[in-house]
Amino acid sequence: MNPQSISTLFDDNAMRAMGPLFALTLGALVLLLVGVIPVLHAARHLVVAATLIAAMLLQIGLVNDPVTEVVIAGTYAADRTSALWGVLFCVATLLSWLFSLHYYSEDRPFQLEHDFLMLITPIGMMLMAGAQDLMVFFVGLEVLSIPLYALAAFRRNRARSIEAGLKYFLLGAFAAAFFLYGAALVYAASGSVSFAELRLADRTAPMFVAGVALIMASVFFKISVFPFHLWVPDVYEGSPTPVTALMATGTKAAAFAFLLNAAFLVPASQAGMIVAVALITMAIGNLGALMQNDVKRMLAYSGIAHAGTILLVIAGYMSGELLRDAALDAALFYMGAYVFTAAGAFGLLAVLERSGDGSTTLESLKGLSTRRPALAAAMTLFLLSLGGIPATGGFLGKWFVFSVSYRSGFVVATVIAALLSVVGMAYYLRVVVAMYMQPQSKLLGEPVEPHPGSNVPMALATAVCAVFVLAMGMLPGYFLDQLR
Amino acid sequence: MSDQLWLWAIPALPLAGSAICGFLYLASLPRRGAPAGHAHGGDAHGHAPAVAAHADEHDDHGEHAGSGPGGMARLAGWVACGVMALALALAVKGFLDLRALDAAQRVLESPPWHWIAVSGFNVDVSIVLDPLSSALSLVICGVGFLIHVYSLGYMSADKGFAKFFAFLNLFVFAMLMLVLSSSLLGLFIGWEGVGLCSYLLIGFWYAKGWPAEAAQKAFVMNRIGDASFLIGSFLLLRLFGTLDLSDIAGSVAGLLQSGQHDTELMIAGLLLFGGCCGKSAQFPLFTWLPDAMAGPTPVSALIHAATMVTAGIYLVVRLNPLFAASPTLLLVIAVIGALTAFIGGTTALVQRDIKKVLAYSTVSQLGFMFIALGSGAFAAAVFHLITHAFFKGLLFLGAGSVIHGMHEEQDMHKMGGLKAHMPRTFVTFLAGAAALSGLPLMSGFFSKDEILAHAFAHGGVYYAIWGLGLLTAAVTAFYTWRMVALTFFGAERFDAQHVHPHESPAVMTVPLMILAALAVVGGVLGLPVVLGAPHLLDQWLAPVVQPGREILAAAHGGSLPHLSHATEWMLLGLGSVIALFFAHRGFHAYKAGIRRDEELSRKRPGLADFLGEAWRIDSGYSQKIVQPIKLVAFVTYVVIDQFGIDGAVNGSAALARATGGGLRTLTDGRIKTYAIWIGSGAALIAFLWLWS
Amino acid sequence: MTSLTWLTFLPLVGALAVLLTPSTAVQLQRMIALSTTLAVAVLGFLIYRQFDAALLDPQNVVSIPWFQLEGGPAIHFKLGVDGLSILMVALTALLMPIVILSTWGHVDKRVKEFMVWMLVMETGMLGVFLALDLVLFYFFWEISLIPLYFLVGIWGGERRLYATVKFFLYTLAGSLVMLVAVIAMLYRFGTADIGALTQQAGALAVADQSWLFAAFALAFAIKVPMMPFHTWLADAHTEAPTSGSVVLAGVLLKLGTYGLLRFCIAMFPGAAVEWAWLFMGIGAIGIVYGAFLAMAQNDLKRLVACSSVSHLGYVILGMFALTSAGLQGGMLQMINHGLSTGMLFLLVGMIYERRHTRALDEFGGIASSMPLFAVFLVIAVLSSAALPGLNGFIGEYLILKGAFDVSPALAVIGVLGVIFGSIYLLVATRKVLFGPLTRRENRELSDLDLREVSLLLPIVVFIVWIGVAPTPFLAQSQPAIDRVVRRCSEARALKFASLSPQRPGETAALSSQAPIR
Repeated sequence: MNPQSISTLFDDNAMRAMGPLFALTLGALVLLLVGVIPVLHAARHLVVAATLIAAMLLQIGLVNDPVTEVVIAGTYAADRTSALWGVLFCVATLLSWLFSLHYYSEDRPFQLEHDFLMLITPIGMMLMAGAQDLMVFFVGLEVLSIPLYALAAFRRNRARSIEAGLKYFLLGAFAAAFFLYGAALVYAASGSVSFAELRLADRTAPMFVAGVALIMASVFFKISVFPFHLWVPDVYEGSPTPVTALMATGTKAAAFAFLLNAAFLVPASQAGMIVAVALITMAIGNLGALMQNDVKRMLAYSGIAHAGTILLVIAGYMSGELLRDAALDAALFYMGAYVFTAAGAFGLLAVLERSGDGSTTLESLKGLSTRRPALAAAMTLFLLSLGGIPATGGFLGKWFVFSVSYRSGFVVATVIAALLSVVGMAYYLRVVVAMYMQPQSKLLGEPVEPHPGSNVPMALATAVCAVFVLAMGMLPGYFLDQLR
Repeated sequence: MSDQLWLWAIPALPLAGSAICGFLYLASLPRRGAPAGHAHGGDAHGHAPAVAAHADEHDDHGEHAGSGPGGMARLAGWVACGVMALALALAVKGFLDLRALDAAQRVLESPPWHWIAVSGFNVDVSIVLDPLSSALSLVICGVGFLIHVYSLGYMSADKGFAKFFAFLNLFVFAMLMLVLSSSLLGLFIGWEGVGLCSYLLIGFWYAKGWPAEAAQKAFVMNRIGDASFLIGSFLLLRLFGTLDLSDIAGSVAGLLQSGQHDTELMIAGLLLFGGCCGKSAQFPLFTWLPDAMAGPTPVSALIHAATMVTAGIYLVVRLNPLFAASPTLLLVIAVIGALTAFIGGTTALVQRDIKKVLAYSTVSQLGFMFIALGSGAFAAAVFHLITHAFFKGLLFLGAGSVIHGMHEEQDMHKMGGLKAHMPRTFVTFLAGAAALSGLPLMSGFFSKDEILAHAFAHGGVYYAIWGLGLLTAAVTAFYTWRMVALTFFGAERFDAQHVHPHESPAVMTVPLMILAALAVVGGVLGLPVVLGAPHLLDQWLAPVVQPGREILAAAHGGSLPHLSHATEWMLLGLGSVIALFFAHRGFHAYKAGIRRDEELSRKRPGLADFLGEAWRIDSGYSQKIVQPIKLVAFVTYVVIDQFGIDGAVNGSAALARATGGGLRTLTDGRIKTYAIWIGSGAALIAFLWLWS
Repeated sequence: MTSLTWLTFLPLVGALAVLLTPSTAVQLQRMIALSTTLAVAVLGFLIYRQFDAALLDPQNVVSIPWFQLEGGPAIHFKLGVDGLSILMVALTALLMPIVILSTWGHVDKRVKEFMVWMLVMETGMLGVFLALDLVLFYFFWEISLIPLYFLVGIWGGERRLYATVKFFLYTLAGSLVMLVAVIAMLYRFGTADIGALTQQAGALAVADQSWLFAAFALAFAIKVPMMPFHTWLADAHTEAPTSGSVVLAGVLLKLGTYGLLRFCIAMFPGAAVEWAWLFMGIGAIGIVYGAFLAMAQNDLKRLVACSSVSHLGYVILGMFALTSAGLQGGMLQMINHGLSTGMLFLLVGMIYERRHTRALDEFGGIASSMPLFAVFLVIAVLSSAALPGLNGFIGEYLILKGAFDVSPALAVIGVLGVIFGSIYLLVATRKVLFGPLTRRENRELSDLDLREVSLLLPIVVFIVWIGVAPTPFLAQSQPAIDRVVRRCSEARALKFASLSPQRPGETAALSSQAPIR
C-alpha cells in the first residue's frame, strides 16, 4: 500500500460506498446525545429506527447503483452484492431491535446502552461483507463482536446471560486470535493481505494454506459449523432473546458474506471437504435439536443445521466459475429468507418469555394456539419455513441451495442433506404439536399479559417477517430480480 | 336374428320386481323421511333396493309369531308373483318362437349392451335364447313362479315378507342373466349374482346367528370357485381372444386342429370346472350346501335344489366343445361327480333333519349330473337337471309344508304318522320320493338310468364310475323311503299337546300338486331309445351339444360309444330292480320308527358319526385350512407388520433420537472443551489442506 | 369461469372467508365450507363435461411465468387437465362436499380451523392433479401434507400425535428424495414443463432413467402406500377423524398412484418396463398381505385401512402390467377405491359417532336396529368385494386381465386377493350387522338420518353407475392411456432389440396389444 492522502483515499465513490457506515455511526452518536439530554429522551427510539432505516435506504441506493471500483485503496467494496448484504444487515438489526423493545424488565434503565450497542453491530457486519482486505474484515469482525459480547451478557442479574457473554467473549477472542495468526501467516507467505493481490499470489505455499486454514477456522466459528459450533447452544440460550436473534441472523449473514468473498483463498480441491463439514454440521444440528425441550435451545441447534446447509453453497461456489452467480443468488436468497424466518421465530420467543413465565420450554408452549392464535399461527409459519415447506421462503432457499450443490456434482451429498432436513422437520413439528395439539399444561400459571401497547412493535416486526417469508415463498421472482 | 329387444324384458322384469319390492319393504319400515330418500336411489338401479332390503326385520326372526306384514308388504308379494308370471309368459313365447324356426338356426338374440370397452378388450352382452337357454329359462320361470306362489303362504307371517320377495326376484333376475347372456362375463354377473342372493337368503333369519354364518360360508366357498372361474376366463380370453360364449364354443374345434393348445384348453376347462364345483356343490367344495338349509325352505327349493346349484351343469353344457376337447378333463369331471354322488348319498342315509336329507340328496343328484357330463352325455345331464328341478323342488316344498305344519320342527325323529294330518302334502311327497328314488316310469327313473347307461357305454374306467353310480342309486332309494317312512308313517313321535300338525293352505298345496304331476310325467321329455319313442329333449338340444358330440366322436374314432338294445334293456331292468328293492328295504326298516337309527348309532357309533358329518370333510377344512389361515393372518400382522416392518420404521426414529442424545454430551457447557474442539478443528483443517 | 385457476383456488378463497368469520359462528363456517366445495364440484363437473378425451394435449391450460433461478429453467405457474388427471379431478370435486357434510356429525370443536384446513387441502390436491410444471407439482405435493397433519393431530383419536407425526415425516422423507430428482430433471433437460419433460426423458438411456424413476417411485410408493412402506397408513387412518380418513383414502392416496402413472410410467417408460416385474410383484404381494392384515384386525376402522393396502395393491399390479387393460383398470380402481373405501370410512364413522367404539366384538345384530345403515354397509362391502355389476368388479377384472397377459402367476396371486377380500369383508359385516342383538346399547341405536343418507347416496349412485356403464368413464382416459401404452411398448421393443432371448411374459404383453373383440 503506497501512502495516499486522506482526500484521495476518500473520493466521492468512497464516500458513497461508506454512506451507510457513516449514517450508522452518526446515528449512534446522536443516540448517545439524545440519551443524555433528558428533554430529547423520548426521541431515542425514533433515532434508532431512523438511523437503521436511513442506512437501509442508502444501501438500497447502492444496490440500484453500485460502486463499481473497490474503494479506499482497494480495501472496501460496495458492489451490488455487498450492498444487498448491507440491506439484510439493517433489516436483521431493525427486527431484533423491534423485538428488544419491551423485552427487558429490570434492565430497562440501560435500554439506551443496549440500543447503542445494537446500532453499532451493523457497521461491523457491513465492514465484514464489504471487506476486500483481511485487516478490514478483522476490524469489522471486532466492531461486530465486541458489542455482541456486551449484549449477550446484558441481563446482568441473570447468571445464564453472564455466562453466555463470558463464553462468547472468551471463545470469540480465541477465534479472533486464530484469525490474526492466520492473516499473519498469509501475509508472510504472500506479502499482502489485500484480496486483489492475494488473487495473484501463489496460494499453494504451505504457509499460505495454513494461514487460510486458521482464517477459515475463525470464520467457521462465527457461522458455527462443526466442530466450531459447540458454543452456540449455550450462548444462544443464555443471551437475551433479541440478541440471540441478531447473532443468528446478522452475524451469520456477515460471516457468510465474507466467506463468499474469501472463498477463493481456499484451495478448490477442498470443496469436497467443505461439503463433508456441511453435512456433519447439518447432522449434528438437526439430531442435536431433536432432543431439546427448550425451544430457544432447539432453534440454536437448528441455526447450526442451517449454517451447514448454506455451507453447501460455498462448496458449489468454489467448485466452478459458472456456478458463481447461482451460488451467490442461492446464498443471498437463503440468508434473506433465514433472516426473516429466524428473526421472527426468536422474536416471538422473546414475546413469549415476557408474557409467560419467562420460560421457552415446549411445556410452556402447550395450548398456545388457543391462548394466542395469531402468535401461534405466525410461529407455525416460521417453523414451516425453517423446515423448508413450500409457500415459504425457506422452501425456495433450500431448493436453490440443493440445486447449486446438485449442479456442483455433489448429488449424494444433496440427497443426504435432503434426508437430514426431514430430521429437521421432526423437531419443528414437536413445537407445532405443542402449540396446536396438546392442551395447556396445568403447571403453567396464568400468563402475565405485558403492559398495554407493548405488542405494537412486536406485532409490526412479526407482520413484516411473516409477509416477507410468504412473499419470498410465493413470488420469488421479484426477489431474484433484485439479485441480478 | 339380433333384433329381439324384448328378450331383455325376461331378466328385466324380475329386476324391476325386486326394485319395487325393495322399495315397498323400506317404505313399510317404521321410520322417518330417510327410506324414501334411499329407495329413490334404489329405484334408479336394481341392486340398491334389493340389497337395501337386506336391511332386515327388527324384533322377530321369522318365527311365525306376532302380527304379519302390512298392506305394503302384501302388495310386494303379489308384485313378485306377477312379474314371475309375466317372465314365464315371455319365456314360453320365446320357446314357441324358437320352435317355429327350423333346428339349424334356432337362436334369438337381443341387441347388445356395450358393457366394458377399453382399447383391445371389449365386452358386449346380449340376451341369447337358444334351445338350451330357452329350456332352462322355462324351468327357472316355471318352477320359480310356483315357488313364489308357495312362498306367499309359507312366509305369510314373516316381518321380512316384502324383503323376501325382493331377494327372490333378484335371484331370478341373476339366474336368468346367467343362462341368457351371450358373454362369459355377462354370465358371471348372474354367476355371482345368484351367489349374492343365496347369501342374502340363507342369512335371511340372520338374527338367529348361525344362518348368517352359513350364508358367509356359502359365499366364501362360492368365491373360491369364482376365483378359479375368473382365471379360466383370462385363459379363454388369451386362447380365443373373446369372451363370447358362442364364439368360444364355435372355435374350439379349429383350435384342436392346430393341436398346439390342448393343454391350455384342458387347464381352461379345469379352471371353469373349479367354478362349477363351487356353484354346484361338488367335492371338495360341497360343504356349504347342507349349511345353506338355514335359509327359508322355499329358498332351499328354488336356489339350492332347482336352479342355482345347476348353474355349473349349464356352464359345462354351454361350453361342451371345450370340455369334450379333453378326455382327461371329462374323466376328472366324471370321477368328481361319482365321488360327490356317493358321499352325498351315504351321508343322507343317517340324517335326522329332513332338510339335511334333501340337501345331501341334492349334492348326490348333482353328482349324477356331473357323471353325465363326464360321460359326454350333455343332453342327459340337462334332462336330469330338469327332472331333478321338478321332484327335488317338490320334495323341498313338501318338507316345507311339513315343517310349516309342525311349527318349525325339522327333526324326523320327532315326526311320524303325518299322512293322516296332511294328506295332500303326503301324496305329493310320495310322488316326489318315487321320482327321486327312480321307481320305474317316474321322471327320475328315466333321467338317472340314461346317465348310468352313458357311463356304462364308455367302458374302461367308466365301469367303476357306473358301478359307483348304481350303488348311489340304491342308497338314494333307501334314504328317500326312510325319509318318507319316518315322516309320514309309524307312530306320532311329537307331543300332541303342543304340536298340532295341520295341512297347509291351498296357496302352498296347489304348487305341490303341479310339481307332483311334473315329477311323475316329466320323463316323457327323454324316453329311452329302446322304447322307440323320440327323445324330445335330445332332439331339442341337438344344435347346442352337436359340436361337443362331434369332437367326442372324433376322439372315439368316428362314432359315439353306443349300446346294443339288449344291454339297454338289461340296464333298465337292473335300475328298476335295485330302485324297487332298496326303496322297499328303506321303507320297511323305518316304517316302525327310529329303532334302526338307534341301533346304528349304538352298534357302529364311529360309522354313524362319520356319515353324519359327511365323512368329516367339513371339520377337516376348519382344522386344516381355516385355522391355519387365521394363524397366518395373526402372524403376518403382529410379527411381520407390527414388529418387523413398523419396528424398522420406528427404530430409525429411535436411532435418530439416541444419536441426538449422545451429541448432547458433547456440549457440556465447559469453555475448555469448546476451546479444545476449536483448536483441534483448526489444526485438523490445516493438516488436511496441507496434506492433500 | 371454468378456468382451472378458479377451480384450484376457489377453496382457498373459501378458507379465507371462513377465517374472517367469528370463531363462534360454527354453522356459518360449515355453510361457507359446504357451499365452496359444492361450487368447486359444479365447476369440476363443467370442466368434466367440456373435456375432450380425443385431444391428447392438456386442456384449459393456464400458464404464467413464475420465476427463474440463475442458470436454471424458467418455472411457470402452469395448470391443465388431461386424460390422466380428469377423473382424479372429478373424484376430488365430488368427494369434498360429501366430506364436509360428514363433519356435521363428528367435528364440534375448533370448527373454524377444521374447515380452513379442509379447504386448503382441496386446493392442494387439485393443484397436484392439475399442475403441469414440475416445480409447481412439487409445490402442491408438499403443501397437501400440511392440512392432514393438522386434521389428524387436532381432531384425531387417542394416539393421534404419534400417527400424524409418523405420517408427515414418512411422506416428507419420500418427497425430499423426489425433490433431488426434480432438481436433476430441471437441470438435465433445461425445462420444468411436464409435457416437454415427458417427451425428452423417454429418450434417456434406461440406466439413467432408472435413477430418476427410483427417486420418484420412492416418494409415490410411500404415499400410495405400497407394501412395505404402508405402516404409516393404518395408524393415520385409525387415528384420523372420519372426514380425514375419507379424504386420505379417497384422494390423498391417489396422489401417489397418480404420480406413479404420470411420472414413473409415462415419463420413464424405459425404466418402467425394466422394473415392471418388481412393482407387479410388490403389488400382488400387497394384495394378499393387506388382506391378511385386515383379517387380523378387531378395530373396524383399522380393518378398512388395511383393506386399502390390499386394494391399492391391485392398482399397482394393474398399472405396471403396462397394458391398456391394466392401466385403465388401475385408473378406474383409483376411483373405485375412493368411492367404496371412502364410503366404508363414512359408515364406520357413523356407527362410531353412535357407539364410540369400533371394536368388532362390541357390535352384532346392528342390522335389526339400523336397517338403513345395514343397507349401505352391505352395498359398500359388495362394491369393495368387487361384485359384478358394481364398480369394483370392472376395475379388478381389467387389472387382473391386464396382469394375466403379462404374468399369469402374479394374476393368480391377485385373484387369491378376491377370495381373502370376501373373507375379511364378510366376516366384518357379519360381526357388525348380523347375529342376535345382545347388547342393550346396540338395541337402542338410532338409524341413519336424512343428512347421513343424503351424503351416502351420491356415492351409491356412482358405485352402481360405474359398475353398469363404465365405458363413458373409461373413455375419458383411454386416449391418454393408449399413448402411455404406446410409449411403453416402444421402450419394450427397444429393450428386446438389445437383448435377444426374450422372456415369455413380455411377448404375451406384446401380443395382448392385438385387438380383441
